[in-house]
Amino acid sequence: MRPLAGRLQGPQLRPKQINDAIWGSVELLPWEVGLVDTPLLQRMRGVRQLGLANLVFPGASHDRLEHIIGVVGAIERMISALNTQIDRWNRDDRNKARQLPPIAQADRHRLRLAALFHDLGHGPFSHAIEPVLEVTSPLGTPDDPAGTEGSWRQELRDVRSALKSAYLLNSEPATSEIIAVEIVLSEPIATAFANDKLFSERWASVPEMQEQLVACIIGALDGPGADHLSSLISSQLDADRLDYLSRDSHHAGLNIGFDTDRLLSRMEVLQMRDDNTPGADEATKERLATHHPDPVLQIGIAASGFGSFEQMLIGRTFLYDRLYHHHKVRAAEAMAQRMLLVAERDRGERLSLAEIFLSVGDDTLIRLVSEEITHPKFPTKSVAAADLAQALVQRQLLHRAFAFRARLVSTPPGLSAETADQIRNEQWRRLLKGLATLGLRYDLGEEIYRIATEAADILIGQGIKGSVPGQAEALRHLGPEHIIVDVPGRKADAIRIMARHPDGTLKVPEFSFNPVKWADAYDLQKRTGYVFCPREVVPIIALASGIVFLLRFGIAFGAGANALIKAGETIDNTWIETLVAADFVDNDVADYLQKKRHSLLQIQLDDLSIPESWITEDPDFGTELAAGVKKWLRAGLTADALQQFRDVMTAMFAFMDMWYSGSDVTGNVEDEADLQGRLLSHFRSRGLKVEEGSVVGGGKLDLFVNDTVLIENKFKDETQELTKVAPAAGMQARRYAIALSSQLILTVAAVRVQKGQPVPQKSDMIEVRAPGPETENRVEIRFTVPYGAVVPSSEKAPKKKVQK
Amino acid sequence: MSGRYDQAELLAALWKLGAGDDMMPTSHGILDRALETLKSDLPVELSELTFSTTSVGRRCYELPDILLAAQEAMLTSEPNPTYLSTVVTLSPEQARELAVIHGVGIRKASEIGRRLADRVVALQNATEQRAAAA
Repeated sequence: MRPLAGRLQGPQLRPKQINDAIWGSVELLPWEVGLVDTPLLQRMRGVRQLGLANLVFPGASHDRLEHIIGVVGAIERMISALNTQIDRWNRDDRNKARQLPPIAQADRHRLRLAALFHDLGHGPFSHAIEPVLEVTSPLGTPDDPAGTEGSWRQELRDVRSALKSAYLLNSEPATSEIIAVEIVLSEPIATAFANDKLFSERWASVPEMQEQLVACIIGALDGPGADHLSSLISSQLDADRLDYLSRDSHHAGLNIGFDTDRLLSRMEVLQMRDDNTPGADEATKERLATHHPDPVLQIGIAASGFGSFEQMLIGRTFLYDRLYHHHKVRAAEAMAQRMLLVAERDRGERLSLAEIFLSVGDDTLIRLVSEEITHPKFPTKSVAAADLAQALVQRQLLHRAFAFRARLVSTPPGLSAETADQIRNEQWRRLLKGLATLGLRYDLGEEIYRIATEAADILIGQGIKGSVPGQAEALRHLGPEHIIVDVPGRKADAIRIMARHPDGTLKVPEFSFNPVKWADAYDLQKRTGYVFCPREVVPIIALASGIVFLLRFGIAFGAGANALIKAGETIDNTWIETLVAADFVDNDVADYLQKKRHSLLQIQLDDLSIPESWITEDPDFGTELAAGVKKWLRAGLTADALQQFRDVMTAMFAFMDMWYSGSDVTGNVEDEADLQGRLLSHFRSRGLKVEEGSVVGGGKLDLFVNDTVLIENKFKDETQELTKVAPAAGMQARRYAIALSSQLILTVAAVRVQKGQPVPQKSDMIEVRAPGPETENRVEIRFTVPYGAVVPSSEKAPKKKVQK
Repeated sequence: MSGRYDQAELLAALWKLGAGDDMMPTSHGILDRALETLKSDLPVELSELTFSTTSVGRRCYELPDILLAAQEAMLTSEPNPTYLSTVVTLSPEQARELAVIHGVGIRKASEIGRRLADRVVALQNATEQRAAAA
């Protein structure tokens, strides 16, 4: 703010008239001119309102400063409209006690000042930077919210919490609002506000001015500096939204059609009283009681204006669909986010707030990362980030290689519609959770890159030519940073204004229809996730994405997903056949990608074939077991494998029941071979196909049942903790499982019960584990069978002869 | 703080176990207030919800985001034509499984869900009575 102090030493500031694309002529008052011409406000000239949307919509190059001035224009229109309404109300209502105060000059000034400051918390690329601000851990490391302790991220959280305590709010303050609040409360701002040459006509003390601005920026209803007019800056019906909806559609050249005039003319200062708020909840009644006999004033809308309010909410959804979530805009913004996170990762130090809010424009920041230019306060040394930045500079935007959408999850044929929906919903839910953060999406992109690179090398090794060598070379040059898995998101909204009905009552205006929920439904039906990558590697990334989504999540998408991208038919089936021949993927994967094109099946409780008596003994047992199996076998199984699994589990539970109901618990187990022999004969007696002692994966497998399930046996003569024996058994079996392309390992451990130790419940003897990395889609179910238990003298031991 | 999808899973599971096929309200702050009255008994992932008196009554700050996450994750489905309530799409078994995954026993989850549903009905009735009396 130092240049302002210097400027105030010179000639008196004069008002200025600005020509604005939306509001026509906007007059800036002298103090506004002084503030606008400071580095603080001028920084916003370089921050594009729509991030990188101008790379797709060339007209959408408008910046935050233009928007800020537009909000000043919008505030003037709102004040004028409200004063007209207030005049009308005071004229028509003869009850003098209900007269409304007009919006005074002091109110006008503080609202205009708040308009200037409301967006100062936006960083480069506007909303596109927000996911970067929320990342809790550097790229490539696990999400760690605790890792932000002591950092500026923690400070922002603390300020958010303090604001929530100090004010009544309609919603939590956004990150950009919190940063704006910190700017407003800073010492340089206090100093500038204290300068009488800037504010020759002062309407409040400096601390009061700061409080007023804070209340406006966060749209407070009550609290220090707040009143009913604060919501004109930040609420569901505010000057900010009135400006950006019109401005964004205007500059993008999209004819959305907001009825701003009607909306303005129907805005009202509502007088909420106990007698005109039927249906108000207890909290509202209490709020009204604290102001009694005065009404609570609140900005709202007449019912006759609700159509234009709905039009605004729904029109905003069309802007999301056509502009904010346009696939190329998303590609560009995802590249910018990735560029910053990679720059941060490669220098080994997190970005500071000062670096993110460096006073340079978006374009300059990109060129800094690209190392075309340097800045002493923004050191970067990242080849990968520089490559991404260069791609943005040259508008070499990433392309769509793979599309995913909830409705396009392909379910197996022959299912009822209800079952198919259940499967689709569950798989989509698991996928979405698996992609919930930038970190998780980066990990998935890295895996797709790895699979693509290995697949390309194998194809070349097998003599496949065409575009493959070029793609392999490009992948080597690019690195995983250029593979971006992107899921669009948007901030949740909810109705937060009241409407005055023709009978004079004030109600929440969602009486027959909730436009916010409608907008969510519309948006979500069309929302599509993409895997983006450079054009030259689209085919191999498309193939790798298909493999990774199938193996990690068990999901395949129908042909409709191909229609959303241009790469759908570019995958050569000979590639998949070659990868099968090279043992890179198995026949099942090939089959599901090429022919079946539907998702795998998730294990359900019924598939575990748990006897009813077990559920009676422990009602949560089955559900816990199913949840445990799904946790590690998250991609699911093919229909064939699932059927074999059911048969083996049925046999295994029968084995456990026999063990417990007969004399085995108190009897003896000679050794591992003894246990294996009993299992073998049990499985065969139930008609299962059992191979014993197959040599695979450099070792000798105990049992392989129905060509699907591996059985690994363990024997322990004595131990304290029955279920903890041979902890590495699953890892050992995993070697064989990999060689056999099996995902199912059962370990059966016979363990002697120590003297005095009670025989545990059956359900406590089953445990689910991951035998390897959790992303592997492989599960180990461990059955522990106790033997050698001493029967208390009061009980009668089974008569079976103890084996020696 | 739990992730929004975790919170959405748990809320949908509690509702399914407690209210069966009844639709879950998503407007007028009914669910917000019901959650607040049960806050101290809610599982840990929902126990950090924060509430405030807003322009339209008592509301939970996080609930709009949780409900959006539920819809994104296909845990709920918006029925036409009012969009004032939502259908929880989980099967009873899926709901039980989600409760267990989030560390809540099935019996406990059912009990909390029932209380939540009862509270919602009570609040809906009270609102209607107030409006009728006015």
